[in-house]
Amino acid sequence: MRLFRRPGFITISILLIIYLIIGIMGQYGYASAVLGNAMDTMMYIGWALALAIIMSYAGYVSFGHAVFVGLGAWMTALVVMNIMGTQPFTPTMFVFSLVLAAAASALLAFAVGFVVLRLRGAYFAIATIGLDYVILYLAVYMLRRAGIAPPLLFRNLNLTIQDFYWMHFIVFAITVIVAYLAKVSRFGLGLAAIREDEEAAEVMGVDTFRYKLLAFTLSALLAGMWGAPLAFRQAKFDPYDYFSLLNSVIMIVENTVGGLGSFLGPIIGSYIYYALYWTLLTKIAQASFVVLGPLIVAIIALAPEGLVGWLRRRFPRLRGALE
Amino acid sequence: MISLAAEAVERGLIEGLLYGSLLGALSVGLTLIWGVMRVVNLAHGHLIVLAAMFLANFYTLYRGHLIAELFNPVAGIVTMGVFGAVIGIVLYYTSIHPIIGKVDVITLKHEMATLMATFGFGLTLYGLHYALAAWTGEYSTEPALSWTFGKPPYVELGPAVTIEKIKFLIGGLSLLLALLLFAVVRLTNLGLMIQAVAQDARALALVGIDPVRIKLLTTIIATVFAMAVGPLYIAWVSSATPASESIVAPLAFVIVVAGGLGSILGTYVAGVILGLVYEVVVSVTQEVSIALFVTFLILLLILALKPQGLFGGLDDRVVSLIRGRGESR
Repeated sequence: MRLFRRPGFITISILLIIYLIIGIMGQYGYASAVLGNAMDTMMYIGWALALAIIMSYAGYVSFGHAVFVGLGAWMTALVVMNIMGTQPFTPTMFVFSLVLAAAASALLAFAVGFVVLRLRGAYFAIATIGLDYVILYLAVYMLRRAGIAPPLLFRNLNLTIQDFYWMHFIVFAITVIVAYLAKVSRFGLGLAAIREDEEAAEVMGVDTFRYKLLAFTLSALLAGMWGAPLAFRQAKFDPYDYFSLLNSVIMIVENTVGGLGSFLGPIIGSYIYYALYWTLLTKIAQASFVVLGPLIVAIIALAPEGLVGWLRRRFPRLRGALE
Repeated sequence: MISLAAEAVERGLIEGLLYGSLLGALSVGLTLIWGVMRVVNLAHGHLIVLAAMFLANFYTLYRGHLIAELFNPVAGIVTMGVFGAVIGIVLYYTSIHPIIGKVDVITLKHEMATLMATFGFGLTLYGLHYALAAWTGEYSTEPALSWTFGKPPYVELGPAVTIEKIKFLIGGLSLLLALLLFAVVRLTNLGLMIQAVAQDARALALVGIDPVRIKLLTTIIATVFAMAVGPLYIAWVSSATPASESIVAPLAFVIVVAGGLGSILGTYVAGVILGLVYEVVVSVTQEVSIALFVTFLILLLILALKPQGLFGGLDDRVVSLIRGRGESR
């Protein structure tokens, strides 16, 4: 059982245990002040790791990854408002939303990836931005046709903050475990080869197109799942908010700051982003991009491997612990 | 609510032609820096919006003074162009020079790195608006520009079809800007060097030209042309926010890909076609969301079916037409 001794496995265990404890405390009325923050950080880590599979592991930046979060939320809205339109909330409703969100996102990513991933370079990035807008305006148009000015507000499901917390926790656990397995498996090795040198990978016998397509689909599936807890928690489907490029920006910033090519990178990047968010964004709102923007430029120019990569280079002895 | 009335279609066609001209001009700067120099400039939309918002802000702020006329949408093309040269230098030395400021071939990895770096630069410009608004109190993040042209300010084409004269002015000036960039890149020696640096920087260095300087110049020209179009953009839409970038930039990328990477006239023609499609759909369905849906669907289709673009060879053909048959091969 070599897997259990790997540092990444320990990271996952620590994360899951901490969030489990917070959840149990929340269940008994303690720690209610941090439940919101804990949910936020879980979501940011989840987003970052979902994008990491295609961006950090395989080296293809998806600039419109918010499209899958939005699509997942849309599917959730369909389940809550149309398919199970009158029933009270049951766990089945959440699971159903989750499955539908994941399936729709994976299907869309597969279809788009199938044509676009044959191209190298920026085409993929541009295509995902285009995809984001196609689905956004389709959603807006469908809502308008149904006579609803976005956002679509959910009916009252009588959910508590504890319910939201466990929804986040379930998706978080799935994301972290799947993202880690994708990294350490044979599949992850193939993706790393693609990231470092796609031609060489191809020559060495990596079926690059199939690997990239699978990575994009998996990445979209996880991102799509995050749409469900988000929509339940906010009790609405707001296309302009969920499909916003800002959400994609957050995912990219987390990955870049934390470090590309590692499992720990996106997690650390998420905490850094969240800390910055609390100290900057809540105080000076969008002006905080005056800080975030130069941060990205500086990281790309000075330490393109991100914080974790920089630590690994600077302190070779830590290399074993930083996976 | 679909209306196929002749007036709606007619109006859609004329406005589409003019709007398309503007869209083409919005994109030619990007096709230069991305198509020719291989820098995926994600700050392009932010540069346009920066120029547009500065113009509207200063024009409103100095209204009544003589300086305000530096910031009317026509003179603003020059003002913002000059300002763009400064921003271009900053853009180059912060985000592009550290990555490709060497005499070397630009690889795919460099391309992705410049994409991320210019993305960060664009975010900085985005935040700058809010920072200026917070610090000065006089800067608006939602500036509006009311500037009319001619008396009466509109042209009557039929009983129900009126189009503002300023839109004709915008369409014409956009065409001029696109032609100017075409002339610079395809008909001058500097243009030859710009094309050469993208093809083989080392060979360029061998004949005694500094490729790094050419890269700097290319960035400056692309930035100047991005920011020069800002005034025309705000004159058309009449109000902007920093978030307008998320409409401008994707459209510019769509058009550059559709036109064929690096082809300036091809990009302009693609802009005109997309403008026509957009305005006719808006005019017929009365629904902006469906028009944008169609526009971006076209992008996905072009990427899927013809990623090399539709009019990639247009520039070469026009150049050989101008130079006559003798000089071209």
